[in-house]
Amino acid sequence: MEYILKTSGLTKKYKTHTAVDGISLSLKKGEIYGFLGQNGAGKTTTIRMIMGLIKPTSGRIELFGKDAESSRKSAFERIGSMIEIPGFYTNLTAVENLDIHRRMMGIGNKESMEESLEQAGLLDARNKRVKNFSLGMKQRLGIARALLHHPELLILDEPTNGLDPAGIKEVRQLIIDLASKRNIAVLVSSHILSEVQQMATKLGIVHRGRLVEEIEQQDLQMKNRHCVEFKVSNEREAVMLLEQKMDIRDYSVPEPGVIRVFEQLSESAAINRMLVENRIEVAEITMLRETLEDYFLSLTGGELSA
Amino acid sequence: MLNVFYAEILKLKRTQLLWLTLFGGMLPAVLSIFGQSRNLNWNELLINNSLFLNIMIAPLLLSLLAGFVVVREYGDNTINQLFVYPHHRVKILIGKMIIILFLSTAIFVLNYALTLAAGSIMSEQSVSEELFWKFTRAHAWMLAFQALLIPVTMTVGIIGKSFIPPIVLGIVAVLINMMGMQGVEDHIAGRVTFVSYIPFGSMIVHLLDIMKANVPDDIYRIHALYPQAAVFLLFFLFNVFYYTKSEVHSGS
Repeated sequence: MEYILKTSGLTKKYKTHTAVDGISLSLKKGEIYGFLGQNGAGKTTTIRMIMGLIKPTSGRIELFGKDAESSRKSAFERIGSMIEIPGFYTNLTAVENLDIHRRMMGIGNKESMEESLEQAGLLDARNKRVKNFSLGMKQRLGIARALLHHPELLILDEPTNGLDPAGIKEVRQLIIDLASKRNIAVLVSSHILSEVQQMATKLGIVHRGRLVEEIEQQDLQMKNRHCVEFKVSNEREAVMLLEQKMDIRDYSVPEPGVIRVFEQLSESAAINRMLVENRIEVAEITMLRETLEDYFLSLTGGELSA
Repeated sequence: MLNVFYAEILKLKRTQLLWLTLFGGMLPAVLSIFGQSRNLNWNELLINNSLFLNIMIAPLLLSLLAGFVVVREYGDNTINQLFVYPHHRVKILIGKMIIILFLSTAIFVLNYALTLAAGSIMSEQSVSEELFWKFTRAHAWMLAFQALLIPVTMTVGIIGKSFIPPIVLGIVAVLINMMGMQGVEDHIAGRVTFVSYIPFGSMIVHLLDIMKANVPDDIYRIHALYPQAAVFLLFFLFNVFYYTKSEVHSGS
């Protein structure tokens, strides 16, 4: 399947400091890639390299299946982006700012401005000067601008900065709708786990310039479950007994001699008794309460915002 | 290209730049008119207006104007978006140069028209055909020379990413101009020769020469077009290189 965006070994070095270190990520149509990392982890630098604002020291970027360096102009016609706090001509109104964007993108249709303002919830403020906008309104206008030319790839850097809880929810729903209904690929960065967790189909965790983990949504949910871990003498026999005697189907064997049971957690004493009665030695029973947050904190050294 | 240029025009809407353009065109004309006695002398009026405009107003104002067009993209953080449009950065740079030229032309045309109109109102005598063409020629040359300096003012704005460097450049230009004029008035041949090699100053020597305002013939000076054109070429190429190659980081 053709990737909308693909980076391979993307690296940016500044003298002695490596801001981005060999990041490889890929994004297909309809996917929402959550790019998660603490402030200064390298998210914005990566996005800036993808958008041609910063030149990579090494590595390759492919946009719509073509090398970005040679096809940037045609690729940019298909990308909508909002990088950091979006900038606007503050002497102009929301519509006038979008009109500049419309002309620069070579779009003839003026109705698309109203349409994108409506999507971003800014239709009532269309004739208000941007200098009177709050940060949240500017974020919304940035999203409206990014959507104006109906992009196939949407790159949003911290899109919910400055938004109130209702605004965050609206933007999240908008991103989910764009991906599912219009089949748009979305790369969205954030330092807030709960924000991307709720919309991303794939999550990339960046820490100190490196992509430390890339995880699919379904695997992500697995990380958020409680379980009882049994260290046993014979895991093969033990799982057979769990299924036959206790009707337990939701378990995993992460390593030899270890079984994690995800159901009937209150029955751990009964499970232990059953295993012992069937001559399985149980060396240790542990209740694991690792949450998704704990998992990410372990990856990033405890520096992510939950 | 038309879309890029039109977008640049739209950006000026409701800015103080348009008032500055109007003010810049009017001020030298008004000052020159007030300097006239009841018996208006057309030659004096047009000389004073040209000197006010080209020595004092234009260098400062055009520097500020070019700085505004370039620097605001960094100040308003719109540079992130500007550089991800599907246009080559050179096209964007040229679009900005054209808009600065457009505003510069507006200042010169407005100034000349206002001076002629005010002179005609105040004097029963109309301007002679000879004077009219002489000063039309002088204005056209000065506009061309100012236009050739647009890349320099853009360069200081692009590199400095602040309004201060273009303002400082404007002040330096005024000082060079005054040095040139003083050299001519006091018949200091060495200074006139020196200034004629420096952009900004060279155009003032040329202006005084066109107006036959006390420029001695016995000194060596080059045509102002050479230093101005050399500076244009050098700084335009530098801007193209810088605009194309520069990276846009957070806060830049």
